[in-house]
Amino acid sequence: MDRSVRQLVIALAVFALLAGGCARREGTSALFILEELETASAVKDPSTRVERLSIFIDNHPEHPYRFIAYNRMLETLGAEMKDEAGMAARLAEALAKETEFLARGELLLGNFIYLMEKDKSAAAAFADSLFLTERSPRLFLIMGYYLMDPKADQDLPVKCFLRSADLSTGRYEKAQAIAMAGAALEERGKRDEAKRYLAMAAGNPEADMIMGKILWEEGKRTEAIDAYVACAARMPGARATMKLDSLYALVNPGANDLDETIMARRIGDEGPMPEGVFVDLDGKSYDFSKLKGTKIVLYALSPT
Amino acid sequence: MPCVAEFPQLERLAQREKELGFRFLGLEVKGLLAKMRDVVKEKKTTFPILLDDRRLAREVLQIPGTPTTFVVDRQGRIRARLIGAAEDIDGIIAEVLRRI
Repeated sequence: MDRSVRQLVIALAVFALLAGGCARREGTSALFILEELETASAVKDPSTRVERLSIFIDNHPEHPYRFIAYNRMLETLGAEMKDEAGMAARLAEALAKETEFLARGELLLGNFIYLMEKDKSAAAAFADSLFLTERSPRLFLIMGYYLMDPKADQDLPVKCFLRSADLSTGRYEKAQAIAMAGAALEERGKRDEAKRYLAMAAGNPEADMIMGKILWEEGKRTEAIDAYVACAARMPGARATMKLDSLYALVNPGANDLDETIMARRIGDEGPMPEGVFVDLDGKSYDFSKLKGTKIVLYALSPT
Repeated sequence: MPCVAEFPQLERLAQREKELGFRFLGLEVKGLLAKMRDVVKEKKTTFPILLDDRRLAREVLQIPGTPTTFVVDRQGRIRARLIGAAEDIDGIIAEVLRRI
């Protein structure tokens, strides 16, 4: 083999080894970091657990798992230790350090949920106080969900959802927030306004479901079925909840094409799957870019 | 626990990887390692479950909640997004896989 070719082959082999090693280390470290978080979270004594979680956050100041550590720390202080002063101090300390808006959102959300369980008016006032300073779409979306209680402030949930929509940069996140604004308005009897937002969020299954219900009640049955089909395409479990089969049969007597109609709406092209290397529960790495050429089913889940 | 309730159907689907020509991957989004391992043990799960240590699901894929299923074609494009649990989820995903 020519010397330069041999050198190139060796260089490529070294690069491949290093790249593989890096991928393995990246994956393995994710598992190690989560193991560290689990160990800190499993400490029986709550004060020691708070300290261990605090150390975890200091050790991994930029890692996304710190979001979980914050939640567990605040939960321990609030729900378990009933130490509101300690919780407020830790929250203030963390907020002073955190500049990333999503991390700040998680922290504030932890405090909001704690307040919601204790004093709903205080939680609503707290939510209202965040509009000028915070930029996390998830913070406002989740606060809106909690505030949907009809007994709570009438306008605040809608305000939260619309703020979330304004802050969202992703189309799915934005559509979810707009859909929920529509849902909150519909729940409050503001049907025309609700329809305006639900139409803007068309394609979001919750928006389609509520729009279907409104249209059905208005006697616009063909349009209602269309909205219900769109919902079932994205949210298969809703087909039974909406009693779509019987409604479809009422509007289209004798038709037996509902499965096909839903499937046609189900398949589209929403763009490339993001790339990245992920590690599984045993530490084995999976590089999404290397899975091209194979169909993938990715199931996002939680064990709770 | 809608995700865990679907595990028998998912396992049934994962057993058809070769027949339908796909890879089944779980993605745990809440960082609940111990609980996830308990579920895997209890349900005798064979498919890999990845750890979402970069908030892919929440921030990039923008899932509204769990479970959310993505079906990706051979070119690496997302062809279906299925939100929530369904009794016949394995049959639904299998049909999408056949058509893409």
